[in-house]
Amino acid sequence: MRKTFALAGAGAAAAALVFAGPVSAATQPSISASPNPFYPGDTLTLTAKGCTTAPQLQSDSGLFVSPPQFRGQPTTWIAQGKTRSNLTPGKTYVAKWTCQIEGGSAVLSLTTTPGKRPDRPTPTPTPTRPTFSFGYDDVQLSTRRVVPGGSTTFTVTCPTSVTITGNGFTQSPLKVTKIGENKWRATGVFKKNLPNPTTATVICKGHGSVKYTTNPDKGDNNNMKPKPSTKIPTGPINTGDGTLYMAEKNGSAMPLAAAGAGAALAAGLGAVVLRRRMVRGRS
Amino acid sequence: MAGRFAAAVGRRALGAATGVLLTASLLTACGSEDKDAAPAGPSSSAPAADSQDTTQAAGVVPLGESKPTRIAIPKIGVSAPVEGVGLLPNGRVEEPPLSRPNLAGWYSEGVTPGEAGPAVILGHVDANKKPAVFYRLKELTKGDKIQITREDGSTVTFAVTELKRVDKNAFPHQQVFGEQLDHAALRLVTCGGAFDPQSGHYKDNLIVYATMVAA
Repeated sequence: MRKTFALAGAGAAAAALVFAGPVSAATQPSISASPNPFYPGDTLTLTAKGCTTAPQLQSDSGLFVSPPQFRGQPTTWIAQGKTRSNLTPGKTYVAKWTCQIEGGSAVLSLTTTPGKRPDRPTPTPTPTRPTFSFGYDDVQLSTRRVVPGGSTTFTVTCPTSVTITGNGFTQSPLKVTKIGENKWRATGVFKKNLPNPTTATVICKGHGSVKYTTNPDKGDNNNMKPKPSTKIPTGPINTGDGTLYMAEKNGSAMPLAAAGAGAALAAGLGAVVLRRRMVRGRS
Repeated sequence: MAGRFAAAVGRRALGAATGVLLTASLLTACGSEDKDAAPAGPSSSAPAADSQDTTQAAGVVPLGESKPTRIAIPKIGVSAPVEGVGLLPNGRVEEPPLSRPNLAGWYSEGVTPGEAGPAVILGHVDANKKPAVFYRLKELTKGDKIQITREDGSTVTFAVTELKRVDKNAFPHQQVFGEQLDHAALRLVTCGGAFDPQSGHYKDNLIVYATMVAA
């Protein structure tokens, strides 16, 4: 006699049993699977209880890559079963095992429905701090007016460190003090006699520099203004007429000069030898 | 006695002959309209150890503005006057005149040597069949020193950090002339590579990069 019992199956995996022969309530076999729910390609852990022998796979409707091998001892058996990765989510797959139980045999039935693997969430990009770019906006002057003996205070925003130099200050570089996070301050006192042009350069370490300039002699109200950025030339830079290159290539000027020099040296030595002989003859 | 006298005369004669020859060689190799010594021969090379000095740019505070007046590069025997060169109407940088081969040209639209930023000095490699001021620039190696004398009387020392030979038609103008720097740097530019008789110009430029190490 075979009996089939519907067992409690949670979610996507449910089990049913078919018994052959009388079965007591205490020995009712069962099979369960985890995780539940599962997704195509997952490995299921199967637990069969109540069987006196290891369950043997009868059919699985293509659920597993290979038949799970149960290990254990009466009456608890465990197996790992890797499911196929090409299972269709939402489709029902039934796997059946047979095993011996007290007083007969039983068929263990596992009904499963793989779920659809959720899409991987798009990783949230890590917010990056904008690269600091040092410019005139990062420098404030208490006054731009350059007056002999006067002073001006620089307040600078810079994440690293600041150096301020100038040809019109009594002290250069200026003493710079940190007054807060990324904030720096320095005061420059102008000389009594100012050079033309009078310049001041503010350097933010690792981020560049800005330069102010004024020409006290040119009547520009002695106001320090940002110096225009360097005009970048274009086109080729031709520094050489190639005449020496061509002369050397053609085998010429320098070797000839060297040969001339060698000849002159030989003549000089000849004169010395002759002179020595003459002296020897005299003595 | 007479023999000793004769030997002395012989040594003097040999010395005189050698001196004449050296003078002749210098005139042949380094003729220049400037009174300054033109590039000297290999005998003027600095000791090898000099070129192994490390570059120590850190901690050197840039100076204020002051125009350069002279350039000296002991290792390659350069001692030359420096004058400003500007920008031509066609956007190209003015080059020192070939008639003054020992003159170096400082690009006056940029910063002065010693100020924060890249100061640029140009010089000819050859002119009128003679070596010009930067003829031996290619012999420089990392750590070699370059000294710039300025109008305010200060002398700024730079150390070579890199040499680059670039195709003249791919010259990195922005990097050489306009790079944003937090320190004082110097770039020396001359011609290099093969000479193209068709165009009448060298095919490449040689760029020497240096940073200030002392002032």
